[in-house]
Amino acid sequence: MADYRVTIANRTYDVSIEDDQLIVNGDRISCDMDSINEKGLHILRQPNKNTEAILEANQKGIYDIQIEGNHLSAEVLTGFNSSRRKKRRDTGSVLSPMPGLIIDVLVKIGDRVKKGQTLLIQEAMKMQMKLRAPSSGVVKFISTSPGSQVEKGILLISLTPSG
Amino acid sequence: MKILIANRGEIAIRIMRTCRELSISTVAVYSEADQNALHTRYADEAVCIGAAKASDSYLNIEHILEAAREIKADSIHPGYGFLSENPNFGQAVEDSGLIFVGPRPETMAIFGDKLSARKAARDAGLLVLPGPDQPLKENQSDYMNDSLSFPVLVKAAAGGGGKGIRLARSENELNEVVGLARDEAKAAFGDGTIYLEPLVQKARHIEVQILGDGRGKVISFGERECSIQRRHQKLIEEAPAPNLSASERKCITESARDLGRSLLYRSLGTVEFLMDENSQFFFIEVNPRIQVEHPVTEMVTGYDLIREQILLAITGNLELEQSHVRIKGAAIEARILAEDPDEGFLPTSGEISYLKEPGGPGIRVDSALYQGMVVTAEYDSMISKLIAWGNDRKSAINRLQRGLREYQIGGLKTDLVFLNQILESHPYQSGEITTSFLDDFTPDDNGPAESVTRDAAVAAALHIHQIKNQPNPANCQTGNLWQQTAWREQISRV
Repeated sequence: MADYRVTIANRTYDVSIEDDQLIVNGDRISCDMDSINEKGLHILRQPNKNTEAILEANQKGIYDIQIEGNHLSAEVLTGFNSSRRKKRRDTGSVLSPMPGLIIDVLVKIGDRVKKGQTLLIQEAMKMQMKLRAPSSGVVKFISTSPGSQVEKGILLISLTPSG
Repeated sequence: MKILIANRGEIAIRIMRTCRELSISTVAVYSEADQNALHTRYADEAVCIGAAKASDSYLNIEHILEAAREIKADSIHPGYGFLSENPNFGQAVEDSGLIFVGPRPETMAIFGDKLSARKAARDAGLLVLPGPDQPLKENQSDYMNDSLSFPVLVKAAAGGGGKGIRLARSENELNEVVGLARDEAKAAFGDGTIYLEPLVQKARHIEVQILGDGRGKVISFGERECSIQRRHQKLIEEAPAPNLSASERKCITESARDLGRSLLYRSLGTVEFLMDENSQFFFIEVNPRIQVEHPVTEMVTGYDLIREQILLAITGNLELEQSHVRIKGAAIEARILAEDPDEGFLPTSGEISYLKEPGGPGIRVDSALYQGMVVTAEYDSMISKLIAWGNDRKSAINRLQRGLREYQIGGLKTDLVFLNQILESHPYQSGEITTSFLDDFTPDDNGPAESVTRDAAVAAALHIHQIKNQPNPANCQTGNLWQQTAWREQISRV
């Protein structure tokens, strides 16, 4: 049983670590890594090869890795004990896709809306964009108003999806 | 001589660098959000001009003039964006007895209104795209006339720099976007006037850099190709434009000089054209200011455009002759944006946790980034520019790709990888580029090399492993409070 399972760009790597010996998907390699600064810069040292990697843990077990001109996202599972992230399809929430200003709210609570209908207009960097309904349904609540400054990922409108 | 730079970010630093070489002292202005910004530290003096909101600071003419008076500046350089194309600003600067490093306010007023700009270009003998030179009236329902057909662009008369443009492919879409375009124009430029212009398909965006002495002498520094655009905003620019014949090159640069001469143009400016499939050049607009992409021209001509612009503003004389300007090699600029190309170029924000800028032969970085800087949605999303020069186009591409791979920006998503994918693509390499390039562009989706993802996986696993097996710093004699906090923060994420 591997210690870690890492998924990057749809590829899966099972990694076991014992001192400076690693087993990656069954292959034994020798490898070590040093942290150069507290800002995430690391040097990965393998025989005849030194590689720079910038590692940033941004969520539970999700790493943002810059390596050799690539910007990758890696999911790490530890000892397979961790509960896998449940991917629940949420069709009733409209989240703010970016930080910005809410210009207009085009619906009110109780309105019946169709999938794709424009619910809000948000502005960021002088671009206005329409935020549309992810599904058909009834507007359950609205947690923003025109003129509000919102962060990324904030729940703006909640719908009760209709079948 | 003391110049106040009424701008922020990389262009403020760019201008100050030249000032320093000319032994001119510099004054930075900054908003409350920018109190630690790099340009405030580079300048000899720095003045706060108001709150973070641009209308309270970088767009506030009164605040900027007050700062200039207080600090006893002799001159104001507007940079690009913000007030740089506002004739009222130029006028107010000159009225208060200061030198404005830019065109005459009358000229800016002509080009500020895209409709009067079309007329000026037509009068100077340039080809202009068909369409009425009339604004769209409010409540007008019959938008189109005989000379127009879909697709059509809805443009803000006061727009520019690619802002305030909407596309309509049908009458329904047009009805839908007209109101939105008007609101956007009003919000961004304070003027809701809009007009229609046909969309030229398979067009190239080519522009000419000019410098005029205000008395009829106009010099061209050659052309730039800026067809690689997203949302009508440039992403990759180069000089010279690839695959142009000598006669086409002459035609476009001479047209630009003609327009400059007809208006006794003063200072730097860029005349923008669309080149259609039949190699016809149509005038689009003039940007009466320094442009974001000016470094590519500087690299192929060897001239410091800001230097020429400032010296002309101070002395009133332009000693340079057209025959002095020679183009050598090729240069390409890539705009580094705090945007996520995988999410439709949505703006990203965050703290720059790590920064390593590229270097070496033929590489230029114009940037105001620093480690610890917090990128917000407050101002423009362009955070840096990387420019590469080579003996020919191919070597410039190779160099820019090398530079992009060297560039490391930690803490937020950028378009670095996407830029490299564009440069890598066959159409770009062969110079087959049009303004719709990115609409049809899908990156070579082989994904990263297996050896790279393997290394990344090993690095991630080792990182977690090292944190888990670290002795608890609470029991460790050497661990200070800062280290303990950092450790706890790291472990909490695993």
